[in-house]
Amino acid sequence: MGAFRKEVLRSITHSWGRFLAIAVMAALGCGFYAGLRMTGPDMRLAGDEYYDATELCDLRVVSSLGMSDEQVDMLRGVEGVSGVMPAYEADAVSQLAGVQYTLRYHSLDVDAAKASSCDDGMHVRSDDDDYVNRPILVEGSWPESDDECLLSVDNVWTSPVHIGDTVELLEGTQDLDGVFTTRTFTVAGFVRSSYYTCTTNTGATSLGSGELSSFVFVPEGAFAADYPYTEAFLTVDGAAGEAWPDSAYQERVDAVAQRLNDLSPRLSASRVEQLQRDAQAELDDKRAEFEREKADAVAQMDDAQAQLDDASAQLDNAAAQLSSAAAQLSSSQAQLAQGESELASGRAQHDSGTAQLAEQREQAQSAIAQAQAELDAAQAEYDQAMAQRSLLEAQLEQARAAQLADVAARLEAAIAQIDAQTAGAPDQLAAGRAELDAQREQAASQLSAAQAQLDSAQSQLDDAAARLASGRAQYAAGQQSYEQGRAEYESGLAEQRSGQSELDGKRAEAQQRFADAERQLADAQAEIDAIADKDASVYVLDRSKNLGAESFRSDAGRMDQIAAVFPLMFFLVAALVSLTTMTRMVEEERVLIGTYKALGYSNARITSKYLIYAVVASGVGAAVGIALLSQFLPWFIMNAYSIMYMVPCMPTPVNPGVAASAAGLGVGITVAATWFAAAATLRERPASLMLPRAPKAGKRILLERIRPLWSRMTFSWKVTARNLFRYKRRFFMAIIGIAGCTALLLTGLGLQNAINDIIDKQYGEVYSFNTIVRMDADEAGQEAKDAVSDAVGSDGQEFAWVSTENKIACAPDGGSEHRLELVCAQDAQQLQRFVQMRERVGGRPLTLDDGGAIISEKLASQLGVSVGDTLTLYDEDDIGNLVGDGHAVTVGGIMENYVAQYAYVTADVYEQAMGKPADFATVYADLGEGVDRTAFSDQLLSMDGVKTVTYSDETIGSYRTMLKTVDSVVVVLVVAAALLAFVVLYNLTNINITERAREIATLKVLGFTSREVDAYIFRETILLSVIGAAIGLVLGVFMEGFVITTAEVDQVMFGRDIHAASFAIAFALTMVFSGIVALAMRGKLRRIDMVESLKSNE
Amino acid sequence: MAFVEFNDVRKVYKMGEVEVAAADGMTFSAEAGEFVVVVGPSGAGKTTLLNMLGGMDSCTSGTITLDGREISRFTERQLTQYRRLDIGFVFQFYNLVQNLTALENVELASQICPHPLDAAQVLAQVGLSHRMDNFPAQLSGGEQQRVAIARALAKNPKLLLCDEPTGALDYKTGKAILKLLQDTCRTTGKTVVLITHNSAFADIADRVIHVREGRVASCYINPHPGNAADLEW
Repeated sequence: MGAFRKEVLRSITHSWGRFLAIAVMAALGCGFYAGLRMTGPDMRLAGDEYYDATELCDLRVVSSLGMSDEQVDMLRGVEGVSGVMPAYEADAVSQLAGVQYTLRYHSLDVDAAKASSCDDGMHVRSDDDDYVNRPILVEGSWPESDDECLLSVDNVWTSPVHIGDTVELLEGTQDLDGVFTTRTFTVAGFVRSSYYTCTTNTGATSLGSGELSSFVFVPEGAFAADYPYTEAFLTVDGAAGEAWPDSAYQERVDAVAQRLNDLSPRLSASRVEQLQRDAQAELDDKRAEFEREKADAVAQMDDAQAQLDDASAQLDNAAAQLSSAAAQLSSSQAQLAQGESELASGRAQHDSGTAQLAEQREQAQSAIAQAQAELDAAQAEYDQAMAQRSLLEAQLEQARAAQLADVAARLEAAIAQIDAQTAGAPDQLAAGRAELDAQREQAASQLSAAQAQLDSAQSQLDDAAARLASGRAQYAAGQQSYEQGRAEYESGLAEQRSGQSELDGKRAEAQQRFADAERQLADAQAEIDAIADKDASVYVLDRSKNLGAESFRSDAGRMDQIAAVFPLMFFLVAALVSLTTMTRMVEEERVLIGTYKALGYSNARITSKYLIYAVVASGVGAAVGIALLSQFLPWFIMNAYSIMYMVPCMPTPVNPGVAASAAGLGVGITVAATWFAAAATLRERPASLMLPRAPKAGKRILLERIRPLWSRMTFSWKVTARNLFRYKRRFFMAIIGIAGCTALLLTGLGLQNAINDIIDKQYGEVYSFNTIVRMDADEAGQEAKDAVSDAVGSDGQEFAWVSTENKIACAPDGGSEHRLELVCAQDAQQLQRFVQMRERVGGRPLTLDDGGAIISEKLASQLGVSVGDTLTLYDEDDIGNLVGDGHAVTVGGIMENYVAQYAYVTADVYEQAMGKPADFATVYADLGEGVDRTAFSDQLLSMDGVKTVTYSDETIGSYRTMLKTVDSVVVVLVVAAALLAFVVLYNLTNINITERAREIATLKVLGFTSREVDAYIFRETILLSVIGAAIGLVLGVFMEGFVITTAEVDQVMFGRDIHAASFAIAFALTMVFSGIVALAMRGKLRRIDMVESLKSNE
Repeated sequence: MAFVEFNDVRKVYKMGEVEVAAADGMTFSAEAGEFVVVVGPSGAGKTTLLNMLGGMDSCTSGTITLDGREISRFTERQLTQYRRLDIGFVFQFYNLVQNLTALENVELASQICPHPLDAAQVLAQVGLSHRMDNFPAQLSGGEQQRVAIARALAKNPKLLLCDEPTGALDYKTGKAILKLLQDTCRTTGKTVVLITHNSAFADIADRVIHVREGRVASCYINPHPGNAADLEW
């Protein structure tokens, strides 16, 4: 190693402070440049890697009429399409752990998911090319049944959610039963999905507040069988091989998207045709069934009719029989009557015969009795005579016995008289008896003949009577059976009649039903025919329409923009630091340079020493800076973004191009500055170089002309003042460095203010309500609304009714489109109590009146409209495209607003613009601190027509998340600022001290105390810090403005004011840094030996 | 007791392992109002003597007293006060603050003293009333040294310490400066200690101290001090 080289090497090792100053500045400049420049590409790279690893769809095809396998197959057939995953999607307001969220449900191919593997938490490997948008299972397990679901691992939940919790579906965009097979899902696990890159903005929905809270994966089986595929996720051949979102990637995707767009009319035609065909088939089936049923019914009725007719005929028959039976009966009755009368006459004859007979018998008997009597009288006379005789005989005897012969003789005489008298009597009597007997005999036979005659008549009569009785019995039986037959007939008839009327009723009913069915079928047919007229749009959406991916991409783009500006300052300061440092070095080595020259070294050779020094110093710095910061910054920024984005933060490769350009710039600047510093000295002749350089002459400065001020200044101040302007390079280095430091600090703090203001101003000043109750505009009647009014206003809370609609606004020139919420106040004054409408600058209050719409500031600036201009509002469809006719609204005022875009109108303005009255179905209310939110929600949600109850706290939460990102950015900025301040101030102070060692030593000899010496030197540093910081505050305002406008997202306006406190803090921190440097350098000041003052210059 | 007394003063520097005695038992004294010239070759210990006397360095052993105060026992703070109030220093290379005018350079010193002399007057005394508003760079070497002397005087010190005040000046100017110093001593009665390698200067001294190899070789009173204006070397 030559002596010269050794000298070069030693010049480095013997002046680490100087070397470090250059190296650190080069490190900062190059590192920040490289780091920031690589952040954007690294983010995109990480995105690309993540998207490739999870097979994020390159294209998404959405059909407003849904899709079936037929269309999916058509998609598969498109050239360049690699994988196709048809999928279901539906939004639903859901309840989870007691809190309501608006969630988007996606179908998950559970089999494919189970078959996939993910070892590194990022790459999901699967053999199934059609398994697109692969979620990464972070916790739990894949769903085992159709009522299990997977939630986002990102913590968007207001209350803690665990595996096993239940997600309950409350309300969907359409009937939930038509979409899902279940109403509750059990949380089976947590996933990360590249389809949702951005965690703070999941998307828009027509439900609830219009913003999705998160997403849910459910098995395909959880969707109803009739629910068609809503979309298909496609991957494009070779797109994974290209880096998203480079143009090569986009070209590949665009080519396929173009083909898909070309295909889309056929897709929709096929879908319409299919829907019609399916519906027609179904309808035809229905019609056939109807016809069959109708025929059946008719046949049944005809059968019934036939039966009825049969019955009727039978009845008629029965009626005839009955009437013949009646005739028979009446004839038999007549016969019976005749028989009766004959019998009666026979009986009468018989009775008269009997009477005659009895009379005859009477006569005969009386004749016989008379004869008998005569006979008996004769008998009696005889018997009496006999008895008298027997008495006389007994007296004769007696008389004989008593020998009374006279008496006996008289008695004999009397006996003999008696005998004489009685002599013929026994015969006569016998004759009489015989005659009587004959007579009796005759009479008896005569009577018995008559009796016999009578008896035969009687038996004849009895016969007739018996016959008559049986006839009568027969008749009665006949009568009875007739009656029975009649009754049967009657009931049969009634039955038949009721059957008939029933049948008639049925027939009429059936006719009605048939007519109804016919009409329904006709309606159905009309509906089928109308399918052709339905919106059958097919949308082909690439990743730029994926909210998360696009916002990630644009944030990466923002990093590019910031990278283009920020490092400039570091480079500028690096250049100045190198310049001053190397100038000082060259000056210090003046004599050495002279010596080299005297020894015959060429200018180039001598310059090379300094250039080598500069190259080594800046090269080492650049290498270290690039190596560290190009790793750290992208990592750090992505880490910060990971609060918002689910893209895994990956080790980031050093981009050689950027690294080379950063190093080139850093080293180049330093070398240029060095050459500039060395060139002037090298031009001097060796002789003059050998002499000490005349100290830079003191000069009067402008300030001295202000006598009153100058004369009041102490010497230290005068020296300080003069010194400031004596070394212009150092002055600028210090000013720019310190200004940069302050500006960085102010930018960081301002950024924090800006985002804090979003919350503080929007929810503290603009909004004075914290609760939004939305009702279903179509369903909620006035009664329901009144009930809600009562509930909301129960504790005397104020509230305002408004109507809200999502619209798309177009600028008057028809250029850009922006989403906004059109809020129509039922009572403008009431609304203004809740929404502070004022101009941001000046704070002039605005009045919502019929003069037009009051729109939010950012919307106005995006659309480029001012008060008096007209903007056009359109409806939006599900995809966010504008549809229908525009409605012109005049801008009546532009108000301060930070979150989302609004246009506020009065009911009159609304009606004029929209051509229909507004439907006030949303309530803004300010719930007191003490009100139990959950109970309030529950109470309201149980009421008719209430769809959602949302609280601003939830929105505030998502902005707090954003703020965390900013916090870490602020940390980076503060650290960068501190480094900048340290390097610059250290360098400045170091140069000042070494250069003025003599002066300082002299002051010490003169008896200046340490404190006075410190003040003498550091006053300059502090003054420079103050000036630099003051300039930095101004610079910071611009820088913060740049960062804010670059970083601002579409729907949000960041706060525009940097708080006074931030200015104060930025300034104070700069002073603290400067103070720290001063403290650190005090030792060096102390170490300066007074003996120094005795030495000659050099 | 003498105004200035050095009593067996030693100053030992440690250079690694080796100890070098820059002052190896110096003993001398001088009275107030004297024009003292310390003479010696390079490396004899003149500057060490000056440093210790000027309160810029302390001795390793021995005692140094000035006006009855033992400065060899002073603390750092006391030494600062000592330099501030009692000592006026004139450097070989003037050590003016480049960014201050002649007047301001003088005021730089006077502002830190409780009883300073008027800066403009002192400058007039040294003959620079017409250059008061000039910066050092605009002045000649002699003029700069005059400013330096004025700066030392303006503090109204007890002792004026001059380290080779003519070293960077041409002969003529050097002589004028010597004259100025001598006159100052004579007219104001200030004690002046002048350090030089030029033994010719001994002629104008009231007291001559020869220093050699860290010791005082001789210390004697010049019975007939010459006038600086007449000095030749």
